[in-house]
Amino acid sequence: MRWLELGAVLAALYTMVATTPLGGWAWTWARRALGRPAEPPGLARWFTTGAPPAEGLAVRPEVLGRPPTPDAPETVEALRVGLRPALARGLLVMAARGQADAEGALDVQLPAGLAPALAGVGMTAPPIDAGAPGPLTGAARAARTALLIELTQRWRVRLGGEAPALATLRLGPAPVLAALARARARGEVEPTAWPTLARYLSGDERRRAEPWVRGALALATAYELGSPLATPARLTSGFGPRTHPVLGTRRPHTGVDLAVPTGTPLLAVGPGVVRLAREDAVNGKYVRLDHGHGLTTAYCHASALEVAAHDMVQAGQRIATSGSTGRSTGPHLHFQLELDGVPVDPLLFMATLRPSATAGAGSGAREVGAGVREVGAGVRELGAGDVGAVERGARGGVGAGEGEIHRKEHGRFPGGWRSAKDPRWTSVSKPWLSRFPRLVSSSRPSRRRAAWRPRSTSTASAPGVWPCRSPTRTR
Amino acid sequence: MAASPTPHTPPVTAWPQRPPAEAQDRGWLGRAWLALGLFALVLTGVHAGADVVDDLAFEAVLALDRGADALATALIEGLAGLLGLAPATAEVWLVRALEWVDDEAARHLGRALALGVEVLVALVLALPLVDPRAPQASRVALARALRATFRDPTVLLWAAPLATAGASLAGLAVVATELEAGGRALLAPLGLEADLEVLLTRLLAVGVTSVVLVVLAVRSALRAWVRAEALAAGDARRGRIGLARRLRGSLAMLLAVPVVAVAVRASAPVLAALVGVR
Repeated sequence: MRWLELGAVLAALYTMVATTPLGGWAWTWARRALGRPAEPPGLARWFTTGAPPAEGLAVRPEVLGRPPTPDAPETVEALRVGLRPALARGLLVMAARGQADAEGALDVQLPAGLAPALAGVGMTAPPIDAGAPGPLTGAARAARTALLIELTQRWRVRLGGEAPALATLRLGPAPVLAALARARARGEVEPTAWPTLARYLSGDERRRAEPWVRGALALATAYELGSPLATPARLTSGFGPRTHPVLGTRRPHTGVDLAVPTGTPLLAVGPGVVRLAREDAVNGKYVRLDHGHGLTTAYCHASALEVAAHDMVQAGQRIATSGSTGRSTGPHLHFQLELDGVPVDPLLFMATLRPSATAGAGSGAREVGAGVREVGAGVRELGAGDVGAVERGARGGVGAGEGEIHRKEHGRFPGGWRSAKDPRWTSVSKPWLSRFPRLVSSSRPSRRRAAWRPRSTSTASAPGVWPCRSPTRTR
Repeated sequence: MAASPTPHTPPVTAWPQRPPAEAQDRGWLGRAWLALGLFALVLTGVHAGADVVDDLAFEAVLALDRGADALATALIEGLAGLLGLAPATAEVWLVRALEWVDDEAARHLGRALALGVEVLVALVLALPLVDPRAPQASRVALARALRATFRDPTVLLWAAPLATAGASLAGLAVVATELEAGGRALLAPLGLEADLEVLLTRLLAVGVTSVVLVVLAVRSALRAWVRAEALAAGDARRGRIGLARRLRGSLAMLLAVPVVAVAVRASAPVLAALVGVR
């Protein structure tokens, strides 16, 4: 009986470590105590902290966020085999572990243990060096790119889903086939959706495959995001550290502010589920959409909401109307993009939608891009079973120009600036309070509305007219 | 002079009371090991309903934050009017107060609350079972518990064994799923035939799950039942102190029962598959 008890307790402990957060922490601490290497960083870290450069390579967020272009080799190869170009690009970014050289070429590496996956679909590995560190030659990169894309497409057709195909590249065919079989036997509605499939993998398999699968799918979704507005809008505040317009301190701005008049329709940038449609004191009326795989977007300071929580929305669907609710100094849209709960710069993914000097070629490229997406749509796995954890409320910054102080109560934006020397700012009915200069705003220097000037934080976030979807573009 | 009564081992009815020496069949290490196993099983089962618990915890944090924001706004605006503060100063105070709990903090609070609820429920259900003073689940004790359940029901008497059984069942479902996947990963290097591999993994999963069912799940439910009966009998004779303890127990069950119900509902498909019902 004691031996049975020993086995039962061990089984319970193993399950606790594999499935519960408490067990996961215990596992992480144990790994650290034993000196094991840390788990690979999540996708969001590549866009927030990057990685130290090694042998000419570095994690370059502006490269990682670049959507597939029609003339890119991966797009051409993906169209040839029938895979979604955005997924192909996301797959290559994950295969490169986010590393790219100075020219922006991804350092594509083949996952370890790819032989069973190749054999399962009747492919053979080309004679390329799979272990050389450092930047690749063009031929090696092209060979690995073609191999990964074709392999993924073949498994996608065989298994009926993108997530199982991606998991196969990482784990091999056997675990994924077994998990799919169990999921179907249990009557799961969407067995090929990653959250469902992951439940039927072992804890170790799940840990190995999840960053890879979720990262590729999240990137693929991010590359296909549209614009939240149908008309151009001025970017008044970009992503990243900025001087808070009220507090005067340097604070991170977790999204971008777009100046739009009240009543402008706000559109869903991609298909998803409404996680939150509510109002609070800071963000006003806001909507948060979950596009699956940890990718969420938020639309704040709306005047009216047109969706409710748990609604399914399509790309381009009207979800709210812009306004100036919450801690806002004027009508604008605060748009936020998050990967696994970490805010990232939306312009990284939407930069190529920005209209360029060669507007004809640009719009033509966008038309081609739309066609590429239509041809390579593939299997879209977004559904009720595809969404990730519940997202928390979005807290955007106070929308304003750089370093400006505005008055909300009069609602004048952009006109009607008030200088700090305005008596309404400095009137103090209790003279004894003048002993405490911090309570009196007259100590703040006068600020005049400066001409809007571009920020110089990163090359990819050069502000300009907010890109809008070409009216002739279809999806 | 009356004859002395026949010596017999008095039944364990009052709480707390050290059980007979022969019932103490394990040392502190054995009890700690069993406690760890029961806690792991119950926590695993409770975590099966984590999606719903996370949602509810997050809604609770948002509601608290909304109330705090409203209170802060009212207080600061009132103070500003009372003291004649400059609007910009009041705005600074207000923004600092409203953004004190930012998005990341709200997210962490929600997750911490959900995790805290799970761990608390697991502790409420599992730890009392390994108290050395708890009575053993003997036939006499079980019969007494059965009588008391229908003749003198209390919240704890009904809720504790049901919640413990539910959490254990949900944990069993997760154990079976993990063992089946882990068993396949274990057997994969042997290169067995697919059918044989499936059969062996199923046997492994069903076998180990059965052992866990008997050793941990059933034992925990029965001991919870017997313990609840002993507590109820003791509380009935302790007046106000007993009433206070009953209230504490009821409140604990008020938290545990819904969480366990959600977990059982989430595990229902796997449980049905284990039993063979589609």
